[in-house]
Amino acid sequence: MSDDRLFELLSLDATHGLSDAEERELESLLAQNPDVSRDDFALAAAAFDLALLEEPDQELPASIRKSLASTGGAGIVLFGQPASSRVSSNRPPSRAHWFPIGLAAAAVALVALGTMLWSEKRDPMQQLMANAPDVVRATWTIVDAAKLMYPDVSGEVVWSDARQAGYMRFRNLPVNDPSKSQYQLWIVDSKRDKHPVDGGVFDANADGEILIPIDSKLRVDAPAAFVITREQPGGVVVSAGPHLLIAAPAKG
Amino acid sequence: MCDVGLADSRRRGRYRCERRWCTQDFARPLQLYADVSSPQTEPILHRVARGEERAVEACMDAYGPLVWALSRRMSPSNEDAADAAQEIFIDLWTKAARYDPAIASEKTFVAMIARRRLIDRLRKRGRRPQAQSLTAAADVVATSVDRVMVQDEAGRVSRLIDQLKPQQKQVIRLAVVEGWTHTQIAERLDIPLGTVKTQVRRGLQRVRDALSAGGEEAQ
Repeated sequence: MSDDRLFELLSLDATHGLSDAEERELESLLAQNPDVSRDDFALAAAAFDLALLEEPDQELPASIRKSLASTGGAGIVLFGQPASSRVSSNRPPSRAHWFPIGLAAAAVALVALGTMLWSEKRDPMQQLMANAPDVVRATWTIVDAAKLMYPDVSGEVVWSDARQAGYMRFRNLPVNDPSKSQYQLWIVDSKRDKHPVDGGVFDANADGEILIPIDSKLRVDAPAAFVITREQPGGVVVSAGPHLLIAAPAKG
Repeated sequence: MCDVGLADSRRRGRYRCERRWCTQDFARPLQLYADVSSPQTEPILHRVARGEERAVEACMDAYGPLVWALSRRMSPSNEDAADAAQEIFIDLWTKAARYDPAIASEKTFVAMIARRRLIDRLRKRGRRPQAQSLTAAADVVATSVDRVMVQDEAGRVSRLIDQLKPQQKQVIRLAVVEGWTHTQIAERLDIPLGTVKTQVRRGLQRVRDALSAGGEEAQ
């Protein structure tokens, strides 16, 4: 296979995205050309775009900033902290000395409840569940063979066909070294052929809880199961397994 | 010294830092399209990857307008653009550790992550952004590349764009900026499909080489 085909696929990837078959072909060609990065042409297209882009004249809307600020970096910061620490950090400690103990306790409870509701309201997963009419949800189950390596993992996944968007939450997912391996999501779509849809790769950090947006490479219309594997950096087109976590959604 | 990176806009003969709270201004343009993370400062994305809470705000300050501009351009509605912008920032934060200053500027990396997410969204929805008329597209090419660029990555890319033949410049712009398919471009410009593919591929290869050259210079 010539470099021309590799570069043609990379340029398509950078400008319009690839079909399932093209994805497989590109992965195969990249495996044969380890000195070529999939990002090369995507960065080139981005640089070209920037060079021609008029200087942006609008700030990011305040509503989006607030929503994003509350996620604190999608689990990297706030979501990685225990919920209790978020609550206490928002409560002025000196107030407790100004009120009778019972009143202070009630105030603390109200602040805690308010903060929790505020956080949930701005959590992208909660937002999707609140706003999309067709969200499916499922909790992660550890595959028997993986229970030794992944004993304490928990969390859930939500997906909306209408929005073609979803999120995964994990607690205690073992940290990976992105230079050696990455987690990869697969979506089994009952309306598709036997091949699951690549849902994107992601990394776990040491914060304990992470929230990951689903990055499905193809349209998903009827997710029957979400499966997590651990693959080479950048992921693979066809996984040889093993499966680590599975979530089978029910309408909810 | 302003730590933003000297991204300026011209006002009454002076050049000001774009940040709202920054009072720095300059008598001459320093770096149009400059990266907000200069080589002397740690990239914002690395601070995000380290879990520095203030870096999340700094990231939105620095790249919010860019992400919003790309989201609006490549989304069918403002509501869709808002969803897209949110997804892009979450993508950015989860992939922040991948950013390598030796390969491209932080701004280019951010634009790449944004474009990938937006292209994915368009593909899944089976839609393309509304195509402009060819005349309008060509006009934007002509005016945009007239900008003064100096010494940074965008400058190198802009100079390279200036060197492209007009048709190739137009073809790449329609593919990269307007999101037209190769087939659409071939039909509208009345040139062979193979020519379109070759021009896009070679153009991006040249830009990639220009980025690589910059990375080598920086090392």
